[in-house]
Amino acid sequence: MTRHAASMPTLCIENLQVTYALAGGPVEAVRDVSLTVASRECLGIVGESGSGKTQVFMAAMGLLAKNAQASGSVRFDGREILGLAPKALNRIRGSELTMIFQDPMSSLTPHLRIGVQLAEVLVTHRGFSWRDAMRAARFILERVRVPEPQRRLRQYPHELSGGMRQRVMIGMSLLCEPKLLIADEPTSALDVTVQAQIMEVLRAVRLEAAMGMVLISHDLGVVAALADRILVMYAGRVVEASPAGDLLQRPQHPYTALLLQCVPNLRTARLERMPCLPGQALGAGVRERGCAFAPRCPRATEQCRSEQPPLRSLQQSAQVACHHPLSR
Amino acid sequence: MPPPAVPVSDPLLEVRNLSVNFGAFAALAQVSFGVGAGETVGLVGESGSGKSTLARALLRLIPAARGSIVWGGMDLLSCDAATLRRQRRDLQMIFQDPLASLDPRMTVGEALAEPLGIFEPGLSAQARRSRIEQMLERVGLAHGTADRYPHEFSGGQCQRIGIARAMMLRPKLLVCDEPVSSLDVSIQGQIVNLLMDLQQEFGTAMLFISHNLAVVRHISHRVLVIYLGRIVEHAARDALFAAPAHPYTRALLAAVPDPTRVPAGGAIVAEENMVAAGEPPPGNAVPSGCAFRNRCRYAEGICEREIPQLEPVSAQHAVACHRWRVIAPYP
Repeated sequence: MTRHAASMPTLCIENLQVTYALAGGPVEAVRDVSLTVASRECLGIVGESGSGKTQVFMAAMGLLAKNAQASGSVRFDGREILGLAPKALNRIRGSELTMIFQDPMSSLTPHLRIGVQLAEVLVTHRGFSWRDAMRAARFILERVRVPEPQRRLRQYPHELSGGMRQRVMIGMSLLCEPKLLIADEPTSALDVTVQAQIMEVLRAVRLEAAMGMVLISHDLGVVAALADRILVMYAGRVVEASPAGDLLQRPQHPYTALLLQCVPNLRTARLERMPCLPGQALGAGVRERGCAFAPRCPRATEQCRSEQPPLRSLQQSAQVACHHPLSR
Repeated sequence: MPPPAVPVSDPLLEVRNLSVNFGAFAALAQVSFGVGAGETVGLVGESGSGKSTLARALLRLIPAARGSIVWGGMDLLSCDAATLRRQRRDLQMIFQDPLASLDPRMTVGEALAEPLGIFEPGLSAQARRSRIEQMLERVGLAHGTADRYPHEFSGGQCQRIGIARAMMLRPKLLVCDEPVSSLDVSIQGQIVNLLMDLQQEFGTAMLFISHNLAVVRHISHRVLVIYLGRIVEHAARDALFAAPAHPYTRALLAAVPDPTRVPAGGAIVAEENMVAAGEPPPGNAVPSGCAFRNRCRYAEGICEREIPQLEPVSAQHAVACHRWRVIAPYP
C-alpha cells in the first residue's frame, strides 16, 4: 500500500468509455478504464500511440473533440466533472487541474510576451492585479529554474528553446497551485539532456507543491524516473497497474515486459538486433475478440484469442489483465 | 590540411574542413570525417548542435562556406548542377517526420515511382510497378500499400515508406536524420533493425543522426559527437562506449533514461552533476575557447582561451578536450 492510500483520491475515474462517431462507424478509443490518483501521488500512464492514454485525460479535462462521447465517471477532488458545462469546468481547468502537452510551442500564444501569458492566469483565475501577477510570474520562472527570469518575462515564445518553453508551461500550470498536474508526453519532443533536466524540474516541483501528477508517455524509461505507480494501456484498456518498482522489476503482463525490453539502454551488452515489439498496436477502432494483444504476444493461446481477459487483482495493489501473467 | 581524426581506408565520402555559416553564426566549423562503403557512422548531439545542418550540407541542400566533400573522385561542393543531380541518385535521405516528408496527395506508389521516373525514365510501367512492389515488400509493408495514401499509415509505417522511397535507386549513401525520434520506443527497434538489414543486403553506407546514444550504439560502426558545430569526439563504436573521453559525451550518456535504475523509494537518483546543466547557448553567445566550457564541470583557464583541437586517444579514438587526460575515469 502506498502511504497516501488512506486519504481521498484527488482523481477517481470509473468505467470511463470514450467513443468517436466516425464515418466508418463508432470507434471505441477508451474502454472501461478505471483509475485513481491519490493526493501527492505520481501516476505514470504508459502505452503506444493509439492506446487511448491521452484520450482518458482529454475526457477528464472536457477537451474531447465534438464527435466524441464519454461515459462513466470522473471525480476530481470528490466532485463529478465528466460532462460538466464548459463554464463550470473553466473554474477548475487551468487552476486546480492543469495539463501540459508535448509541444509547448503550440500551447503558448505566439504574439504575447511570456510574462503577460503567465500573469494572465492569475488575473483571470485569482483576481490578482497585473503588478502582483507579474511578480508571481517571475517567482514561478525561478521555481522551474529558468535562468534570467526577468528577461524571459519580456521575451516571446519563439525566442525560447524547446526546453525553456516547456519550463514556462510547467510554471504556468503551477501558478494557481493545482491539486493535480497532467503531463502528456512533456519531454517527447526534447533532446535526452533537456529531457533529463525537465524530469528533474517535474520531480522538484512535485515535492515542493505537494500536488498529484499524472505522467503520460510511450517511454517506460521516462515514466520510471518519476512515477509511484504505473498503469499500462493497450488498445483502449488498462492491461496492468502496479507500484512502479514492482512493475519495472517484475512485470506481469507480457506487453509490459516487452515494452521494458524495448527501451534502448546502455547498461546491457549491445545486441545484434535492437529489441522491439513485432507488428503494430491495434488501432483504437479494431473490435477485438479475446485479448487485443494476442496477435503480438509470445504467450498467446487459444483462450487469449477467444476470451477477453478481465483486469484482476493479483495482490493488494497490483492488477493485470492477462490469462497467462508472467510470474506468481 | 589536417586529415580526419579517425582515418577510414578507401572512404566513399570524405568531408574535409567543412564550414557552414548562417550570417555571423558558424553552424559548422572545420568538420572532417570519412564514411567507408557499407559503413554506418552515427552522428550525435543536441538540438542546435549542427547535426541536421551537416546532413543538409552533405547533400548540398544548403551552401557551405568552406571545405570540400569528396565523393566518387570529385568535390560535390564545386561540381556543376547537372553533375550534382546525377550524384543525388546515390545520395538519399530520410527524415524525422516521415508523414511530413511524403506528399499527402500522392499515393505511396506514386511517391516511390518519382525517383524511378527521374533516373530510369526508360522503365516500362509494368517494370516500375514490380520494382515498387518488391521494395514495399522488402521494407515490410503489406500488399496493396502502393495504392493507399500516407495518412492511412502509422508513424512507423510512414518511416518504412520513406525508407522504401530512399532505397528505390539503391543509393550508396543514406543520410538518416533522426529517423526514429518521433516513433514510439516499442517500434524504434523495428526501423533500426530494418536499416541494418538493408545495409547488409545492399551494402548501403549510412550517416545516422540521433540525440540518443543508446540508439546510435545499436546501428553505428563509428560515432561522431558534435557540439555547437564542432566534432568533439570521434571514435569506433566500442572504443567510444567503453571509454567516452569528452565530458559532453558523458553527459549525453548519463541522460539516456533507464527504467531499471529505480531504487525502492520510487524515483531514481539523478546523476545530476553528470547531466550537463543548461542548454547549448544561442548562436550569438557561444563562449570563447571550448564552446562547452560553460556547461562543463571540468573547465579551467585554458578552456576559456583556446579552442581544443581533435587529438588522438587511441588509433580509433579522438577527442577535442583540453582536460581529457585528467578528468575522472569512466564510469
